Amino acid sequence: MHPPTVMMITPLMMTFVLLITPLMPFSSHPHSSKKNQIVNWTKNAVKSAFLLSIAPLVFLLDYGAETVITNWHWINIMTFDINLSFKFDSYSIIFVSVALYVTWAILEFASWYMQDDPYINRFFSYLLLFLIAMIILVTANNMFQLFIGWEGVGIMSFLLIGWWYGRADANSAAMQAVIYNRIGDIGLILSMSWFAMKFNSWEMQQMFNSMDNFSMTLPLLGLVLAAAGKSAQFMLHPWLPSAMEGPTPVSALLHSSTMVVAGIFLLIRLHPLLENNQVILTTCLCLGAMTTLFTAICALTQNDIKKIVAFSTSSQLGLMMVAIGLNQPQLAFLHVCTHAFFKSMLFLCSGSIIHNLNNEQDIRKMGGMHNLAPFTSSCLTIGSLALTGTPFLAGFFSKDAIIEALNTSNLNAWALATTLIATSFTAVYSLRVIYFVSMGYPRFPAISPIDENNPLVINPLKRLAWGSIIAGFLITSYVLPTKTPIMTMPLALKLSALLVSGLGLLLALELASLTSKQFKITPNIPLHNFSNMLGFFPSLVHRSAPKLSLIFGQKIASQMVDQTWFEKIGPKNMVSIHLPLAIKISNIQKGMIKTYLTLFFLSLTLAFLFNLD
Amino acid sequence: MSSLGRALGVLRAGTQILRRGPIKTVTRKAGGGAHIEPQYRQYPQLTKNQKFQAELISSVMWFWILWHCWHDPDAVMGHFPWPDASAWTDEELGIPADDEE
Amino acid sequence: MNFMALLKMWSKTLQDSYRERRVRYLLSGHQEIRFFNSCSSDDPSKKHSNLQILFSRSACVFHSSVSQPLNMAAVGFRNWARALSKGKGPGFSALLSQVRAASGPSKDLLPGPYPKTPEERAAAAKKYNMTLDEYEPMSDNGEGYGDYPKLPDRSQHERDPGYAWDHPDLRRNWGEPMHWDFDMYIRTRVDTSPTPVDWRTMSKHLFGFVGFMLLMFYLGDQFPSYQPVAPKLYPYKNLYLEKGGDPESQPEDVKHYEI
Repeated sequence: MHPPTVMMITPLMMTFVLLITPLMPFSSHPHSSKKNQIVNWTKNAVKSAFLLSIAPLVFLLDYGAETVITNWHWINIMTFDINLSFKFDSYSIIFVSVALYVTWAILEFASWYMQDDPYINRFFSYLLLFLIAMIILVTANNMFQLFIGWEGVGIMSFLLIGWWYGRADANSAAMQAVIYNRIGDIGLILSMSWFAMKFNSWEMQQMFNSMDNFSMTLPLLGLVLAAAGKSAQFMLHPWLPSAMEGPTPVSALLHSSTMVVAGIFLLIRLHPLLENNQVILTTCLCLGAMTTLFTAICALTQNDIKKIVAFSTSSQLGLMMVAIGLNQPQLAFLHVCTHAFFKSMLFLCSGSIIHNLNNEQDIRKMGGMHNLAPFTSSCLTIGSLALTGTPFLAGFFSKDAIIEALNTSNLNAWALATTLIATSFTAVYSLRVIYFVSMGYPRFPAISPIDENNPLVINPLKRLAWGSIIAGFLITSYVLPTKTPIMTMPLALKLSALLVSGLGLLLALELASLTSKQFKITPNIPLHNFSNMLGFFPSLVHRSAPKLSLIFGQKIASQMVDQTWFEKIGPKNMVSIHLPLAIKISNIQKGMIKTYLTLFFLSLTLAFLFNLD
Repeated sequence: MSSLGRALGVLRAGTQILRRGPIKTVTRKAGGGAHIEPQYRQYPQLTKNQKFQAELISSVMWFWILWHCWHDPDAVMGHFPWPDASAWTDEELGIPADDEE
Repeated sequence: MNFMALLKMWSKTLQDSYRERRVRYLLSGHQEIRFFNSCSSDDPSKKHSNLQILFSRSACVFHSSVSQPLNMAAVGFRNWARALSKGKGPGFSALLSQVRAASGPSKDLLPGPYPKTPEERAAAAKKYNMTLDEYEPMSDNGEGYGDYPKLPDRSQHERDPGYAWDHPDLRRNWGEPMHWDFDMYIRTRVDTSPTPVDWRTMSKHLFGFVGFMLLMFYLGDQFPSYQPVAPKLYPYKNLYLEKGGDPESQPEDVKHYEI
C-alpha cells in the first residue's frame, strides 16, 4: 500500500478504537456512582478522535488518497460474501471529521445542559454509541455494514427521544420516530434483498459494476423510500418535529446534523445506481421540492423555537433531496456538511435560551435576549444568517450552488418554483426567530436566572460559530468538484437565490411590523391554520391510520383469525367432534342388561356377516 | 512525671495530626465561569468577557462577509459576464448579411 | 356477497366467546380497582366475593356459583357425582360447562344481562361506578355486550392534563369504567381531542394542497424550465436527413468559427 494510504487508515482506525474505549466495561459502569466519569471520558475521546481525524483529512486533500479496505471475511453463504470493508473516500472522511467536530461541541454543551440528570453517564454512552453507529454507516462499503449503522442510529434515536420517559409526549414522539423509520427500513430491506438476489453481492463496487444489465427502478424506489423515512421527506416527515420532545443536545446531534442526513447520505453513496435513471431522479426532485416547501410553510407560524428549527431542518433536507434529484450528489453532500455546523449551533443556542428562561420554549414569551445573553444571540443570528444563505457564510456555498444548478438545468419548472418559494420562506422564519428572541423587550417573568457565562456554553457555541462562518469556504476550496460546475449564467439566475431570500427578509420585516397591531382577535384564516397545524398532516394521518389499523387488527387478527382457530378449527372443534361420541358411549355404558345384550347380538351378527364368504 | 505526661500528650497530638494527613480544604465549584450573584427582578449582570466575545464573533462574521464581498464578488455576481447577443456584430457571429443569398 | 357482509356474518358466529374474553381482558385491569373500592364498603358479602376473585385467579378449576360459601373441591365432587348419576346426555355437558379456565375473573365480574327495567339499570350503573345519567348500556343486538357501559369514544389524551388524576400517566381514576376499546384510546395511540378546524376542512385542504402540487409537478415536468444559451446543435448537419430532409439537396456545412 502507498504510504499516504497507510498513514490515512491508521489514524482512522485509531479513531474507532478511541471512540469505543469509553464504552468498554473496564472504563465504568453506566450507573456508576462516580458522577461525570463517563461524561468526561466520552468528551475527551471524541475530542481526541476529532484531532486524529484531521490527519487523514489532510492526506485526502493533499494526495487525494481514497481507499477501500477489506480486512475480514465475515460470512460466506454459498457464493455470497459478506466482508467487513470500509470505504475511506472524500465523502466519508470529510463527514467523519465534521461529525466528530460537531459532536465534540454538542457533548461539551450537554455536560452543562444535562448537568442535573441522574443518568448523565448513560446519556453520554448513548450519544457515543450513536456516533459510532453513524461512523459505521458513513464508512461502510457494503450494504450489510451500512444496514448495521442504519439500524444503530435508528434505535439510538428512539432511546434518546424517549429520554424523559415519564412524559407521554416523549413516549409517543419516540414511537412515531421508530414507526416512521421502520417504514423507511422496509424500503431498504427490500432493495437490499433485491441486490442480494440479482447482483449476488452487497459490495458497492460490484453493485455498481453489475447494474447495467438490470432495470433498476424498483430497488431504487425502495432506496428512495428508505431515504425518505430516515431523512423525513414528505409523507414520512412528522416524526422529525415530534422528536423535539427529546433533550436539546439530542435534537442538535441526531435530528439536525447527523442522523437525519443518513438517508441523504445513502443516496449520495449509491448515487452511481441512480444517476442514469430519470424516473428516480424526477421522483427525488419532486419529493424534495414538496418537502422543502411543505415544511417551510409549517415553520412559518410555529411558536416553539425548537419546532421552528426542526422544520427548517426538514426543509433543508428537502433541499438536499432536490440536489440528489438534480444529479448533483456532491452539492447535496456539501449542504449536509455546512448544514451540520449551523443547524447544530442553532439548536445549542435555543438550548441555552430555553435553559436560561426556565424551560420556556415559546418564542412569544422571549425577547430582548440580545441584551441579556449577548453571546447566545450573536450565535443565533450567525446561525440564522448562515441558514438563509447570506453570502460567504457556510450556508451560501452549498445552498446557492444547489439553487444555481437548479436554475441552469433543464428540469421541472414547478420544482424550481417551489424550491425558490421555500428559500424565501427560510428567510422569513429565520428572521422571525431573531426578531422574537433577540430583539424587542423581554416578555418573560423577571425571575429567570439568565446566565450564559459558562465555558461549557460559550466554547461549543464559539467553535460552531467559527465553523458556520468559514466551513463552507474551506470545504468548497479544498474539495475538487466531481461534476463541472456551471460558471456562467444570466445575472438574474445567479442572483435568484439571494433575491428570493432578500424578498423573504423584507416580507418578514413587514409582517413583524404588522404583529404589533392586532387586527383580528384570533387569527382564524385557513392559511394560518394550515401552516400552524402542520398542514393538517399529523391531525389527519396520526388519527386515522392508527385507528384503522387497531380496529382492523382487533376485528381481523383477534376476532376473526384467532377465534376461527379457537372455535372452528382448534380446541373447540375437537370438543364439538368428540362430545356426541362421548355422550353416545356414556349412554351405552350405563349398566343396563338390555343394552349390553343388544350390543352383544349386534356384534355377533356383524362377525357372522363378515365371515359368510 | 507530669512533664513526661505533657510531653507524651504533645507527641500524641503530633502523631494524630501526622496521621490525619494534610487537611482537605473544601472547595466550592459553581459550575465554572464568572460568578454571578443571585438576582431578583433586576437587570442581569453581564461580564465584560461575555460582551467582548459576542461582539468579536459578530464582527468576525461581518469582516468575513465584507472582506469576501470586496475581494471575491464573483461568487455572488457570477464569474463571467453573460454574453450579450445584441452587442455582437454579425461578422463576429459568422452570420451572413441579409442581402447575401 | 361483499366482503364486509361476509366478515360481519362470520364474526357473528364467533361473538360470544370473543366478548367474554374481551371483557375478561378489560376486567383484569379492573379487579384490583374493585377490590380496593369494596374494601372500604362495609358489605360483608361483597368482601367475600372479592376474596374469591383473588382465589379464583390462583388455582380454582372447578367452579360453582360464587354465592355458595362451600368448599370448592366439595362442590366439584358433588357436580361430578350428580352428573354421573344423572346418566342423560345433558348431564355430561352440564359437567363441561362447570369447567372453566384457571385464570381470569369470576362470573360476577363479567357483565350481567342487558338491563331492561330502570332498577336493573340503576344496579348496573352502580356496578360500574357510574351515575345513572352517565350510564348507557351497549345496544342489545345479540352481540353479547350485556350491561357493559357504552362510553364516549374519547381518548385519554383529551382529558384535562391539570386535574390530579389517580393515575396521571393514563389520565385515569381508580374505579373508573373502562372504555370497550380502552387500549386503542390510551394517550400514545388514537387521539380524539378537538381540533380548531373540522375534519372535513382539514382533509379538503391537505388533499387539495397535495393534489395541486402533484398536478403542478406533472405540468412542470411537461414544460421544463431552461434558459438555453444557444439553439441545440446536432451532428450530421443538424440531423438533416434524419429530420426528413431531401438527400439530393443537402445544405452546405455551416462554419461558426474561423481559424
